[in-house]
Formats: sequence, C-alpha cells, structure tokens
Amino acid sequence: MTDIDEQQLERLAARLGASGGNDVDLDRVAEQVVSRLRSGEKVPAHHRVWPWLVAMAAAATLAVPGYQWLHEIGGGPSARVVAAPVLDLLTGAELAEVLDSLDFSAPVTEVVTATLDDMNEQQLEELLAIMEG
Amino acid sequence: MTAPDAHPAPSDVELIAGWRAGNEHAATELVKRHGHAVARYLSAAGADADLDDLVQEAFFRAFRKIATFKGGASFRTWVMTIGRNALRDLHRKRGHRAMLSLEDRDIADSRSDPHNETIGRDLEERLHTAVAQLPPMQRDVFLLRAQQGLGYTEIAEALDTSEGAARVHYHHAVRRLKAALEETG
Repeated sequence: MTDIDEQQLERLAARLGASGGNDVDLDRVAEQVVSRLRSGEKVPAHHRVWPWLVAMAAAATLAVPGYQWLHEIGGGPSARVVAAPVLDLLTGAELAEVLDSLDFSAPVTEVVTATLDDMNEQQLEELLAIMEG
Repeated sequence: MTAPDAHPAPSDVELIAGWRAGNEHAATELVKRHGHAVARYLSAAGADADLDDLVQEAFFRAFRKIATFKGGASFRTWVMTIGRNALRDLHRKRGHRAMLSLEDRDIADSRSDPHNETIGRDLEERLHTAVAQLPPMQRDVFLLRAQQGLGYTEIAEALDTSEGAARVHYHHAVRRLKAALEETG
C-alpha cells in the first residue's frame, strides 16, 4: 500500500513525460510546421465546425437525474432535467468526451438554462460525481 | 556591472506579431521555445509513438488560427490545449482503448530499465498510468497545475471553464490518483 500526499504527487507529476518530451527533435518539428504553413495546408474543416454539432447533440441528450439543485429549478423530485449549464462551460471536445462517457437512459422532460457560475463548489462536486458515474 | 544585452530575446507577443506579419523565423522560434514543454504535457496526457507528429500538429493548428489567440492564457498553454484536442482526435480515430495503452508501455519499460526498481521510478510509472485513466477534464487540469505549475486562473482561461470548476476537477483528480496509487502500491 502506497501512502502518498498531495505534495509528493505534484513532485512526481512535474517529472511526467520528461523522458519522451525532451527527446522530440524541435528543429525537425519546426521545419515541418513551417513547410505545412508555407504550402497553404488548412486545418481540416471538421475541427472548425464539429463543436457546434456536438453542442446540439449534447443539448438533445445530456440528462442529469436526481440532482437536488436542478430539482428545485426543474420543479419536482422526479424531474429529469437537461444539463444545459454545461454547454456554456465545456468546449466541443469536452462535450464529445462527456457524451462518449455517459450512458443516460432517463427521458428528457425539461430544459434548464443556467451556468455553472450559479453553482457553489459542493454543487459542482455533486454534478461532476453524477457526470462521472 | 553587467552590460545590458544588445539583443534581448523577443517576447512571445513579439514573435506572434512577427508570424502574423509573415515571418517564418518567428514561428520557428516559438516552436523551439515551447516545443519541449508541449511535448512533455502531451506525453503525460497519453501520447506515445506519435509524440513528434502531435507536437507538430499542435503548433501547425496554433499558427493557422493565431488570430483567435486572445492572450488570456500564455501562448504555451494555448498550444498545449490545442495539442490536447489533437491527441483526442487521434485517440478517437484509434478507438477509446488506445488511451489506456500507456499501461502496456510502462510494463514493457519496467522490464528493460534496471533503475526503475527504485520506489520513485515505480511511483512515477504508476502515476503515469493513473493519469492516463483520469476523465479528460480532470487530467487536463491536473497536468496543467501539477506538471506545468499553472495557477487556477490561467487553467480556467485555457480550458474555457471557471476557477471554481478547475479547483473541483483538480480535487477529484488528486483523490483518484491517490486512490489508484494506493491500490497498486
């Protein structure tokens, strides 16, 4: 059993990736980056448009059952509430990760528009715990 | 008394302005200045054999959309978040399981490195594996704070979240990592 405190964890974390990261040949990387920029290569289109699509999908499917703070807004202990607040918080990539990791079966009956700024730390923790299962 | 440097290194802001004006040398200098830090971050976040390509992709995307860089976070942190998205794109193409491939690599490394019998090395490898298994947002916040030493304000800016949410993610990450290390210790 390893007993490790937060400071030890941070010291270890500071060294993570050092062996691989410091081996990267930056002269070569820079040369290739400049070559691609010079050629006029564009970032693939889906990198620009997919966050909008993901946000739409998330708005339609992301539900958080049993969360007291949302119940108060949602109007009843049995309410199933769409977690619209996270749409303002997460980037497209993060929303995609949420959708990939969650498996909601509860029907969506109500949409709440709010932001995470309205929530205190305890509420955020509870919401995160729900989202992470 | 030391004479002032006649040619002080240009700041990131000056180099960014140089690139926007078409100066390729400015882009090269930014890659060389921040490339290793970005590579360490991406390596810790789960990049493996494709690390060079990922670093290249991160800087390429950054320079392509440099007009969207608002300076809330540092240029280095901004490139890290772009690299993180490129890493996720790569993992999606391979399938989610690829995110856990670090564990296999660490086991292989532990057999070939005679020094990793030390407790510190062993802990570092187990931490590397545990970090790769964190939920994405927790992993990002943890690495930006614990590995890169950023404050919550810059982390929140870089990840488009609030300081409070970043603190919560960090708290959850530390708790999970400690539990993971205790389980495997």
